[in-house]
Amino acid sequence: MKFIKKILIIPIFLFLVSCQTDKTYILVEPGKVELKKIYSADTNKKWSQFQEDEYNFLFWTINGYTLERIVFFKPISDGKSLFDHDSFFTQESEKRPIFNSKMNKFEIKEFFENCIIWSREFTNFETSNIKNYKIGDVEGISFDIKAQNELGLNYRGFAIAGIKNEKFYSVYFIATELEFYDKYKKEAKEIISSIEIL
Amino acid sequence: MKKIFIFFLILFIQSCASPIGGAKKIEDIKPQETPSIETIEAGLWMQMNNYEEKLKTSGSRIKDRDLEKYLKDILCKLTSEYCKDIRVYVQDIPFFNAFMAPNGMMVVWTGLLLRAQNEAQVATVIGHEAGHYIKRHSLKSWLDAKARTDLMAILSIGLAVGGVPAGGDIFNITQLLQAGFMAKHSRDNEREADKIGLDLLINAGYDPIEAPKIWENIIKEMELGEVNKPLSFLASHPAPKERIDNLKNQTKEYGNIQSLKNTKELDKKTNKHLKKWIKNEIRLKNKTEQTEFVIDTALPEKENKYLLYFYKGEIYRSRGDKINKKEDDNNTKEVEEETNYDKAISFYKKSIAENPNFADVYRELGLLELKKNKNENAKYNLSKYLELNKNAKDAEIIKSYLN
Repeated sequence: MKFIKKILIIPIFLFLVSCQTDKTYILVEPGKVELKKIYSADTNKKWSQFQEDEYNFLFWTINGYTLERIVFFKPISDGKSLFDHDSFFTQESEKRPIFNSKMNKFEIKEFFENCIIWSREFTNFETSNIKNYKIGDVEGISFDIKAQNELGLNYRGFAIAGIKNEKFYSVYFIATELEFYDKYKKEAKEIISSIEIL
Repeated sequence: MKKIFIFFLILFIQSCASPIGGAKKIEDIKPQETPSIETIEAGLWMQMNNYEEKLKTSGSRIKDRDLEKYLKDILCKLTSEYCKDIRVYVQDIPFFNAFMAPNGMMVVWTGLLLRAQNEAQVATVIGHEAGHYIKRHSLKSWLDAKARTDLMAILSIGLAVGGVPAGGDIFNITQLLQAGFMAKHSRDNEREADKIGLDLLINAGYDPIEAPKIWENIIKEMELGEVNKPLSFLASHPAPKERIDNLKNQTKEYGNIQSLKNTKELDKKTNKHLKKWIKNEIRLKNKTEQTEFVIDTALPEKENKYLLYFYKGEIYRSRGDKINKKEDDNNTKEVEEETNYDKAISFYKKSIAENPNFADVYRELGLLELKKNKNENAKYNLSKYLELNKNAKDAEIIKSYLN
């Protein structure tokens, strides 16, 4: 009898689990969207939004993270880094790039670049074309991105970043150069230019 | 579960296989020789062929075929016999390392090229790696590991064979472990490779004095750093002092020694990458003395002095404005030294003294002076930057700081 009970528990458990909604991804409908009360943005398309509390960012994608994405970093304060997970190279994990609210505009770009390089998501990551850029009422910067991953796939994108109330805010769009950059560039530009820090 | 299964499967397969067709003594590999299909060696080659195929299109492979060809030419100068068998690739990784896979794939990391002061030093490493290939050291390491049931090493290769799914990082780690394991050699194998390398170096006309020099520099660098161990977890090459003595003693055995260094030739091939490689080195945030030593090694020429000082300034600027403390002469109490920004400013000024037409240094100096509230100086230096760099792409931002 006990054995049958145990066997029954498994399908019941599986049934209950299957009824739960997966909140890792939610659908973003066209219109004005609030992202975790940090940013607001306007979109004309539907996007899938990834959101996990343990990560310091959210992202939107249509075809998948590795193909194209808009990444919204949650704000970070002095002494923090964009990524706080440990790197395989432990020596370097102690030396992750650290944000300082006194950074000038060039150092903001350098900090962003260093964080992405530190994360080892790309084997090549370069930024260029830095410009003054207003994120709502925040005096920030915009810049272009060129990258390549370990498999040799080329990426292009652009980013905005700025400091508000001594906290670092940043959003970037990146997509595979051949297939998706041109396809979503216009849409991503419109979304990013509509962003306000809440 | 799958991993455990693969691990035992590998152990089983290995226990059935015989090394290089059952031969007990491992002979040197002959030029253009390939292992026969039923041997363990063929299996190692197959794994490394897979790795090599991925490396060819990898984003970490440097996009400079001319530099790779230059290194290959050095190899062919050292050993024309094995020239066809060994391929040389450069990976953009800022640590001192090079390794040789059993199938003839040699990989040199950019951190090594940054530290090499001339072609003879690069040839020292390439000759040493070729020695590992000729003596089939990877196969020997594999068999040794198997005899010791080196669990971690075999498991890491097992994971690679099994094709661990998911993220790029995991893929890299297993691949790196795999390559690193095959390049991890015993002390005796290292000595043997050193000896072969030095023979090749001298026969090709290179100056053998350069052979111990590159290892001496690495030892100095490690002593300045935080850890007295290899700069990368995979590196098996940083030499003990004994190795340097061996190289010096071996050199004495030769009568006719030439003194080819080819410093300019190496500079010509690496100069266009220096900015990026130095930036990557600074990004590692090693101890400032260690990074300064690396940059001193990379830019020893008089005509580079302004760049040397500029990058030294960059080391300190990039670390934020911390106060450096050191013990006084009696080692009894800590006394304050100047801040990172003060040090950076002093290096930038030295750079300007060496080359008053180098625009970038004025920009960095001006931006630091702004932080230090030296507004008049900052204004002068930022204006000077715009004056020297008429097409500055960041002019708009600089102007916003001027207003």
